[in-house]
Amino acid sequence: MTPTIQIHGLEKIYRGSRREPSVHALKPIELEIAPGEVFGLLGPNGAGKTTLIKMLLGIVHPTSGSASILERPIGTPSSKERVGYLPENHRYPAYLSGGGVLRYFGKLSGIDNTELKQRMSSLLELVQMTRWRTTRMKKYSKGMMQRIGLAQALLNDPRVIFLDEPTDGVDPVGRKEIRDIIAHLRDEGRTVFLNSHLLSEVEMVCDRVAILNRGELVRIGTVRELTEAQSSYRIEVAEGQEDRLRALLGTLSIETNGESLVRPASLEELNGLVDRVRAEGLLIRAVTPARQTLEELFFDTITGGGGH
Amino acid sequence: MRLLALVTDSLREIYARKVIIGIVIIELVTLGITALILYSDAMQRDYRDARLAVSAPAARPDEALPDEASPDDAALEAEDAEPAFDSEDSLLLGLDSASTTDTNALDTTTSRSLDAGTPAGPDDGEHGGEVVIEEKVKGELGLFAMPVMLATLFLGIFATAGIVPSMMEKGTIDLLLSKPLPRWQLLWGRALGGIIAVGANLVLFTIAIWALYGSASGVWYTPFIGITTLFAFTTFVVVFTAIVALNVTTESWVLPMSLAYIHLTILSNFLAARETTIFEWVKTPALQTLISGLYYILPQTNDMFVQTGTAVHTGMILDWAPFLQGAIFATVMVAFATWRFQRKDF
Repeated sequence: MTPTIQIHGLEKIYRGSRREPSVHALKPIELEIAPGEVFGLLGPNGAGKTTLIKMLLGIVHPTSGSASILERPIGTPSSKERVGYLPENHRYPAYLSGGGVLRYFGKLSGIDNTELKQRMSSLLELVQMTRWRTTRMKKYSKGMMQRIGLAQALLNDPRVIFLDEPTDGVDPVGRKEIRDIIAHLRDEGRTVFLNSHLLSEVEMVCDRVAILNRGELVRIGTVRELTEAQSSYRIEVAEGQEDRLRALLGTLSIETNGESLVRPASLEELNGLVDRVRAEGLLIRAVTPARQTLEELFFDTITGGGGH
Repeated sequence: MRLLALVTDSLREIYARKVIIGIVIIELVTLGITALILYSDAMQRDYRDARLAVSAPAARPDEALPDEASPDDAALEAEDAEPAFDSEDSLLLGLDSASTTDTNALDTTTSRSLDAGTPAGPDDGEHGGEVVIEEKVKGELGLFAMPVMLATLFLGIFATAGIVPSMMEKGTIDLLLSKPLPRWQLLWGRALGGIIAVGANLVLFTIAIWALYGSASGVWYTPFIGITTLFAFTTFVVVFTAIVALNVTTESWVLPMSLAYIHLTILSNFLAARETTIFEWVKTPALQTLISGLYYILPQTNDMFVQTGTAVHTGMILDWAPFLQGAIFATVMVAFATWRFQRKDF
């Protein structure tokens, strides 16, 4: 099956001036996203997440490399025909109502009036904004703006949806509703590209996750793969032997939340470690996996604790 | 449909701004002041005098109005007119006696139109007066066309200088660029809304001025509407393309608007007067070349105003050069703005 999004060596360097140095916002990236996949992009501020999305949508021009969406080269109007986008800190004309915003962007997407009316009412229903459709945008709260933004992103019946911080400013109930909408979109076979700071949210809805740090794609995989690959194990020995175990493991052990854990690269390495402990005459009570959360993985990765 | 959506939104934004209320008030005040002037006793007397200008010296030595003249005066007038033509004249022209009266009338009209001091019949005086008052109104409208243009440009620029930068604001431009339409369409669709808004305002304002003059003077000089709106609109478009190019480059509206105002009020006049005045003070050839260069590069708005005023008065454009230069300038600005917008990262 042809990937929905294909990225080959996409790179962005913002040229500097006399006062500002050049910024290597995104180092060459290779990435493919399958149809119907919910893909989460994580990274600290300035990691290049938004730059990547903007390049895919033709808002920022790549310095080098190429990419395609639905087999159409990025930056062309045709590549955006079946794409929806909810940007971070989006702004809508304050003089328009929620319904007016949808009508305006629907027309810009080339949707005819009859279809637009139908889609508008179903989407307003979906984001629970029907009541507020005639209210001016300037009276909307942040959460209401996000909801209208989400409806706007889905207006043209997109096959690919880019959501940049979709739950920003939304209350917990609203977040749950947005997560449900994302799950619903996946069930309909649509591809969702999600940028979020909320790691727990990403963990809950994403099939695959990538971590960007300083413009570099440092990790990619399913949440399970990523957390497993970095799994830690707790080795418990008989009472009174803890100090000997700690001395034996030395630099192999890491301290997390007051516990001494080992983080072997593979199962073979773990078994070798167990053999060494037993050879020293220590009695092993248990070897239990202590899987990392996505949050731990993220922090390890961006602080350099977890390499490739 | 996409272009229409952009234009409509642009118009909506312009009319949603409170500044439009200010513009309407300024225009209404201008119209009010114009009405006060036009309906003042002095102006009304001027128009009446202009209407009677030809027949006045012989027919009404006492400055009385024609409808106030007594039947005796009219008879005297007719008698006075008779000696100018005799039967000998008609014989010399080879006309029979039956046609003598008609010939008199023809000759009288011809001579009076050339010499206002020649006695006139009542009908002929009326026609001559119409010509004089029409000329007077055309002259006044010709003078009025320039401030109309300037006011429309000032207000138009004030209302529209921000529509492209507001589109380029973070959070707005991202959404717009994610839609399936080419960038040039986005930019010029938006700008077109501003151009249409100013055009509509210009037409309404010009018609209001024309109607005021018409009702006050009795002369409904229709070409004023066409000439003023067409040339003022052309001038605005030329200046606006430069504003858009600067909008795209600086992402600001203050600088482009300020530069446009400076050009319209100071620089354009300065450059237009380079040969008559400026070069009297600036003797350095390099500076003179620079000034001349600027004159040929920048829009010659001052010349456009003058040409429009002349066109209203005379009914023809004496010099197309400022408009041709403006067309070239606007084309370059459109190309530059499109190129910049096309390449820009947001």
